[in-house]
Amino acid sequence: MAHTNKKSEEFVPASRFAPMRTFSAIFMLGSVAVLAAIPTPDSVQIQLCVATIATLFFMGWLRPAGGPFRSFVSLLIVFTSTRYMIWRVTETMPTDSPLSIVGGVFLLGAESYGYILLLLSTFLSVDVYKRSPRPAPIAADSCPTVDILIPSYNEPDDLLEVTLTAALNVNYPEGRVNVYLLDDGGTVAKRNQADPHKAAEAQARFDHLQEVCERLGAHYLTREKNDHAKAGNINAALKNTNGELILILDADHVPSTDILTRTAGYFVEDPKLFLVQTPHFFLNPDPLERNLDTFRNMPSENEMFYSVIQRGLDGLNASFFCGSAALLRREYIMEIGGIQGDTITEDAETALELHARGYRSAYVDRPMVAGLSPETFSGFIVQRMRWTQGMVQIFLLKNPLLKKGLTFAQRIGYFNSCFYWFFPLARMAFILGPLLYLLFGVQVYVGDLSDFLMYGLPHIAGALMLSSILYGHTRWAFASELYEVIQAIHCSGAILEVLRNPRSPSFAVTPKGENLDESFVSPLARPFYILIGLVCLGQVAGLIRWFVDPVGAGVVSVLLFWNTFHLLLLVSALGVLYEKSQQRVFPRFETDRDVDLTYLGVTVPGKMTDISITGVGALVPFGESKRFEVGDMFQADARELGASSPSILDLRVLSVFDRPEGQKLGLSFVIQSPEQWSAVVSLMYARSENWKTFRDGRAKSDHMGAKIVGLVRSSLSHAINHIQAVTREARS
Amino acid sequence: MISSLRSTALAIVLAAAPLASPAIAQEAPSVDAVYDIYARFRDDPQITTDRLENGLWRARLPLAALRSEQGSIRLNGAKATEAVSFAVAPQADIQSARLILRHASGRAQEGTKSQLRLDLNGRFIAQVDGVTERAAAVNEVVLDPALVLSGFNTLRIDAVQRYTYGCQDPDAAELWTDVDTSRSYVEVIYARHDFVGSLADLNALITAGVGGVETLGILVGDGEMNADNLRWGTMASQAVANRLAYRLPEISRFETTALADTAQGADLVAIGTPEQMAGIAPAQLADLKGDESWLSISPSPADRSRFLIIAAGRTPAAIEGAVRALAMGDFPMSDTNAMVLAPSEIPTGAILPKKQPLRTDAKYTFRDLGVGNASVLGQQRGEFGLDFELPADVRFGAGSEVLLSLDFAYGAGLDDKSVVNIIVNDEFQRAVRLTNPDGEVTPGYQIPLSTGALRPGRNHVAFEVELSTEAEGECTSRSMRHLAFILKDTSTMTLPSAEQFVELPNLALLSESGFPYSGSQSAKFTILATDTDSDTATAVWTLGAKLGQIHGAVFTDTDFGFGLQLPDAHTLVVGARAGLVGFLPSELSMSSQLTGGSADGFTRAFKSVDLGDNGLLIEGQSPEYPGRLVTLVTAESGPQLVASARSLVQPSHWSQLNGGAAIWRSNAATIVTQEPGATFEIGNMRPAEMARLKTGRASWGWVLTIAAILFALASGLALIARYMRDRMNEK
Repeated sequence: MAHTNKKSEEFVPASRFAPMRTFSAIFMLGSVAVLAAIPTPDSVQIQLCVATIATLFFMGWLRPAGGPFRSFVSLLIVFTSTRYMIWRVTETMPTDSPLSIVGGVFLLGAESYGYILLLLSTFLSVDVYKRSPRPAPIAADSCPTVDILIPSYNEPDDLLEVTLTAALNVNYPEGRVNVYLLDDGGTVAKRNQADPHKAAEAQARFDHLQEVCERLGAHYLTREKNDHAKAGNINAALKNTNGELILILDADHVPSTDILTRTAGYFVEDPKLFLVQTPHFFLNPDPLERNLDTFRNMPSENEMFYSVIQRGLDGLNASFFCGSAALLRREYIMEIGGIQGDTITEDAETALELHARGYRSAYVDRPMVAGLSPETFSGFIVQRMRWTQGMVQIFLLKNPLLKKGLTFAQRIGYFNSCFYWFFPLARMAFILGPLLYLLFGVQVYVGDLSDFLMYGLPHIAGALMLSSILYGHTRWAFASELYEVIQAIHCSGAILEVLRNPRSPSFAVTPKGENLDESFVSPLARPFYILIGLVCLGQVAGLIRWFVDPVGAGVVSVLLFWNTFHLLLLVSALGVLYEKSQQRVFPRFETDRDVDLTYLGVTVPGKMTDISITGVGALVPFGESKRFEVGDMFQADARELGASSPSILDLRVLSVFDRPEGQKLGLSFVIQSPEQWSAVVSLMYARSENWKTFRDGRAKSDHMGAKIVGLVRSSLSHAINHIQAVTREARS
Repeated sequence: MISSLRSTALAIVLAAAPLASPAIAQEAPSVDAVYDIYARFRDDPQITTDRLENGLWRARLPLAALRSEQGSIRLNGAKATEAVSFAVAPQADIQSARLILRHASGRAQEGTKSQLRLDLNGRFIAQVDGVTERAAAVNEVVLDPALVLSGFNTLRIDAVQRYTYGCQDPDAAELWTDVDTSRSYVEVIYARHDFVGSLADLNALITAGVGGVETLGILVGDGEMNADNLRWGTMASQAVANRLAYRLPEISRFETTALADTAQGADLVAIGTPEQMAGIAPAQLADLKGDESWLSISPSPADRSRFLIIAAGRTPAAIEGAVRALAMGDFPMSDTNAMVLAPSEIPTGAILPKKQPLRTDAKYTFRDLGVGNASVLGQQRGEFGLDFELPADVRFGAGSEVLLSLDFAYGAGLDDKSVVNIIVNDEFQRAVRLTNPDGEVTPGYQIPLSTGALRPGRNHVAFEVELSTEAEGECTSRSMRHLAFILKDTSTMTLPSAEQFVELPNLALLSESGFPYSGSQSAKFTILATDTDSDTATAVWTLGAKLGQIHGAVFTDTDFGFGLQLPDAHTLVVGARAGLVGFLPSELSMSSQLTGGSADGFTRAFKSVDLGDNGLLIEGQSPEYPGRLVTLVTAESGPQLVASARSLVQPSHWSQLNGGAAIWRSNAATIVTQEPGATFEIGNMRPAEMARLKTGRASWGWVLTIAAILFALASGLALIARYMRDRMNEK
């Protein structure tokens, strides 16, 4: 205890520096704005344009990781973009007709959105905070007690069994951790619902999961009714549990064994800490990654958020709860009446409430859960619509700019988190704005090509460069645009729904573990066809205008440039909307580890190439006499394979392929005891180092140009598949 | 016998001797040719007036001196016209006149009877053969003296040219005639009669034409020179110069005591009290009451063909009133030789310049700008000009536009090549296509033009009309009557708002508009003479006359004084070098190129070299009052100062002024100018415009400054971030 007090005295929370950081940022922004507002003749603007772009390319080549050069590039980009926005507002707004004014404001609004986001991104990400590790206390008595809560609604039993087993494998002093399955699929209300078939299913689920929990050593909890969805489920469990800390895991978020030892220490150090959030890591590709074959090379979409933005927020004491993979202090949660449920993003809402009460949060940038992304585009959109609606709800109902108790930096941080989710509207405005002029001649922008090149080119180059410098290792430029475009149409509708009635959205569970038996065109593709048709029409109309109206050719050139870019994005989106088949339910993780297998008492050296919860892939050299066949049985020491639990595993050969370097064997685990099951789960999920290595392997920004070209090529190639599939469908 | 032979032989030898020498050696080198290396670079010939032995006067007016354009008259095309005008003063009785025309034309016209038709004041006077062979033709045309009128006379030269009797291109390059304006001239022999005229005729009597004012004598102060005398002399010289309009007389100061010897050939203006005017004024002047002002005109006692104007009063205020009345061009004078003005009749307040620059942020009709309806009828091309003047310190904002709203109409039958080109200050700006084959009346056709095409001072907007019509064959006879275009005087020009800004020193601006000594600016200025010497006063009056003539201004609000105590105002300092007591530019190279030094202001510790025959004009910021311009005109001595001032105000010199300093001698080829070493700005420019200006001047410097500031900010950020990281991670 004395040790704890001493640490508390030395402890300097990041939040203490937030005012300094905020003041510095405001001062810098003010200075840059003053500089940017200095008017110059066109000749000087051209020189500035050339010098800026040359500097950006030079800095892009140097790629400064920190220090003044990184800040310099960021300030230069803010300067360039501020200058562009001042020029846009003062020089390019149409005034000739009410429709033009509305169209101009519409387009400018979208650009302003991008500009504000650029400022916020720079503020948050130019110098992100990386916490030093705080291991949990060695003495068991000093470790706070922990309840691991795994809320579930309709996830498959086997998925839950994996998560429960991994949770039980978590390293923590014995007796100070309990694992709870919070089953909302087996509530009293579910079991007694009117539909007898569904009631029977719920009863079966209730019985089976109780048995699983009992078998594994976890606790099964359910409740009377399904009120307030996930938040209600957790709050119900909080009444029946008593750990000082609670680790919340989604049903598909399988924890590594070190998740508590790497996070609980922060609570010991900082008594006002209410949250330690860790990244969400996904073992399977999302629809874009899967359909465009980018999973192994391209960072996951959420990497930008978890690798950069959350760290930036952490420096402002504004990192927030993301619903899972987070450790929370019960006392403070209970102080606000449990997990909040006014919005459908209960996680961020809860963090906002606690931040407003002066409590602190921390973010540990190490993936320690392995989850599942939605397999289909539809599931992906369901998930994103919920996030979009939830964050817009927070913006409307609990606006962080107005909420009492938050520091200025926290307001900025939360504002950024909410404001970002308006991107679907901005993206639609970007797409539709130019069409107003190209199709209907409504002047939305006054200027010519040379003006645009002088002011717009450095702004665009700067925005791309800023994205590359701040997020380049976590988000590819074109991929970022593509992700936005594929969400824009459907999420725009979701935003409008919230704007119309902020309390209307209801919690929609993200579908996980869907099986894709065959390739098909997503049912959500139709709106894209309409949009592509409009953009194509605009392109044709623009080209005609370009030839017949030499006076307006400058404006048309600028708008055609944007329209062409959007056309490329939308066509590329078709590639994402063509869902490729996927047979495997459990994700398989590639690895490269030398292992010793035992066949009939004889040791067979080999190399483990991949692993899943159901089996492993192994490459064994050709033996002098024996060729392995389907049905052969191997044995292996689980720790030899990499598990943290000791056990002898039985493996059956399911497939054999000859490779030049040996036989490629598909081996299936034959689970006969709880120890074996635990070892298998441990083998797959115990080591967070695996996820970190995999994540770091994708987060490389070298040869970015070639990678983006490859992505575009892949998108277009899959778009052709999409078109062919639609053609086939139409013919049939 | 021997002696007579010897005499005859000597006579033959002497007579034959020149024949043995080359022709050029027969001409004795002139003094100018020996000593003036600029003799070859003389300007276009000036109007000269000689007194003939028979008491008559001969004025020779080279056509070059009658035109504003430089070089020869070029008459191109099948039909071309040029007109030149000259004035004749009422005092001149024309005895005879002739026109000497030296011209050359394209050889291709040989044998095709091309001709030049000449008329004077609309009356045919001669036709001459338009075709010359290799050398130029020289034609003498004797003019009927009755055709030469008092006032303005217009000589018109029409060329009718062809190079074939078949069909020809009316614009063929072969159709040209050049009239050598340097060696073509109008010669007028005239007698001068005694001056007759009343005060009411003052504007007609004071004229720059043949027999008009050439030398102006100013009698003021009767030996004593003070600030009032200096101002009255300046106003009097401006009163005359403004009526002469385009030409300056040679201005001198005379004493009443020696008029008969010195004032021959000079017109006089005498200013002072009745007592000072006693010897030359009418007796009635003695009856002038205390606060009354006197104005009279009469023949000069020294030359009865010249006038003497007396502006008198018993008090300085009364004298001032008389001079003001004289200086006002539109003051109602009585039709008598003398008039007495009561104090209530005396004009007070500033006398507005005749030619005011246009105001910005205002709309003008073409009629306001002196342009009436202009039409092209039956011709394929025509040109109209719109001349106006902008304030010397005007500066339009970036991106601002001047809006022309043209009311025009054109006839039917024009093809799509018909166009009106709009050219501003010799730079093409816009074209208006006349596209309707049925003709059109177009009111309020809006044409925005960038104000970047305009400049402070004089501006010229030309409308070049090209009317094109279908032509089926080269020799097809066709009517051109349908080619019709009219630009109406109801068309308007709207100037945007502008700011005042000017960078000084700028002698070009002084040359163009007299800035800041034009009397048309709101800011007052001061004229300082370094001493009370007559030569200095003469130089002041000469410069004052020139500056006033630019806008027809009279310096009624200007402070005059002596010495070198600079006031808090723009100041024109005039004086010989000896009187400057070291007040000279701090650094000035006197080499012929003036490239080694710079004029960075003024110092009282300057060791100047002898100016020799050079006049020196230099501008710089006032050492006492920043933001105030000091313009110094000096020469080595008083007489050299007067000579320099008289040379400087000649158009040949004045038009070459540029930069921050200039030196010159009497020949215009000697003028050398130098860029200012240091500049300063005056005006009320908005910070944004000022920033635009400054950044435009040092563009890369500005870009680097931005980069340096951003890097400094970034370094600060990096240090703060590092400090925070270290503290948070307990390093």
